Amino acid sequence: MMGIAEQTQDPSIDVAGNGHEDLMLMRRIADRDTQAFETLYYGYAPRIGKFLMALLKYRELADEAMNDTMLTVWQNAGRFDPGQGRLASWLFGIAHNKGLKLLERQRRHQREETLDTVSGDYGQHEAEAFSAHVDVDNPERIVLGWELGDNLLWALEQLTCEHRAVLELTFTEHCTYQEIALITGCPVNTVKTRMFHARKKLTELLALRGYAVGS
Amino acid sequence: MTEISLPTAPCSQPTPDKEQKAPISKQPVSGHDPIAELLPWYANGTLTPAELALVEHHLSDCLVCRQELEQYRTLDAACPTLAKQRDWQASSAHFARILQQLQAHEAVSTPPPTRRHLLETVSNWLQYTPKPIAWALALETITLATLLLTLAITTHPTAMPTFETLSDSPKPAIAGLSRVHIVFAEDITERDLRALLTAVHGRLVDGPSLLGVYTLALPAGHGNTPVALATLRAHARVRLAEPVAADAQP
Repeated sequence: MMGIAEQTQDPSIDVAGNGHEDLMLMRRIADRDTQAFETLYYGYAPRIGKFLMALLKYRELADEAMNDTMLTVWQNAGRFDPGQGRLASWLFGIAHNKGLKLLERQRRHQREETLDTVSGDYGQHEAEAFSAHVDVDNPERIVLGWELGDNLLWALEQLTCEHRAVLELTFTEHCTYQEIALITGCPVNTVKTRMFHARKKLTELLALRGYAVGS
Repeated sequence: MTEISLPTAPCSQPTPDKEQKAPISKQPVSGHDPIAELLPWYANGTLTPAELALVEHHLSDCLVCRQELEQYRTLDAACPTLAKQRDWQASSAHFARILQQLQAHEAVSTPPPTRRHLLETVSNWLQYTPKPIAWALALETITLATLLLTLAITTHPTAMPTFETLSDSPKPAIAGLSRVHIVFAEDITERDLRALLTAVHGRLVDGPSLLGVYTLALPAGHGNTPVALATLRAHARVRLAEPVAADAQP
């Protein structure tokens, strides 16, 4: 599991996720200590930013959601309770919430392309690509490294943001399913169901391109 | 559209080694579903020891779960790599923008100090005062006011001359100056600060605010402000230098 300290820009900053230290940091922020706020920013923003990029896909949206997140953290630092979970979970919960709200606003103007919406025209295009490049008798290619990574990235982007969030929190942030339930505000069973459907859709999407996940 | 058969189980074939351990049937063994739901978190290494033991026991009997686990393991290996490729970096410029937004937000959301109106205060006080006492106080106040008025008229028949103290004089205008909001690095020295102010012919006129923002006055005109701004922004110990909106040059 990747430690928080590994992600910090300044190696001298200690944000090891210790409950007591986290609480002290948040109390300083609640007392309007901008230096503590800066410590928090460099300790967690890189991870939260990448998570928001996975969720929202675009840099501008991720920036906006990040700014909203940091503003909420500044205003509500006194509400952090280490008894309810790690600081990282609290922060990711705020970021997830801000990301979804932003996406909701965006959707009012522009419908997001999801797996369901692309299954029509896009599916046709993919099927043509599939026929052109893949052996119909043996459609699955097990490819590791860049080629799969590139296609996996494409497939992840076709999922709904709820499915991307569960995958991202599980395999990039290495959260427990209980933490993911806390972050996303869903029951544990919903988290497990989302994971099941996310994997199923990924498998389907990669099969469209003639790939399979696994060995 | 070409019909593609999408297997529920992974597309890969088991290795010979796995085939020897696996049952002949690919059908999930009993109690499969609750265990299969834990596989993603078995792959990311966050299950409790009890859950771990359950999953490992089940995996030895269930080929379907072993195949699903391979998919999750691939995701576990690939997702962090993909995350590293995402273009999002923390930066001092971004943090400075966040601070600026916080300051703007706090300036808007901070309520002005509440000052209760004198009449309201007196009214509330009278409400809780017994009526005889209230009437007595009212009569006393009217008498005192009449006395003071009479005294004022008899001793100062003409209009009162106005007095002006030094502290009453209007604040000097800062015409010919433009203002800049500036945030310095924590470790800036007094010498650095003095040298910087001398270089841009500026002087600090306000600050620090709650968020450590100072206001710097610069001599305006002859294109001085953009040059001074560039000098400020280029300085290693300056995090933010933004013209005050009302003074901003077009």
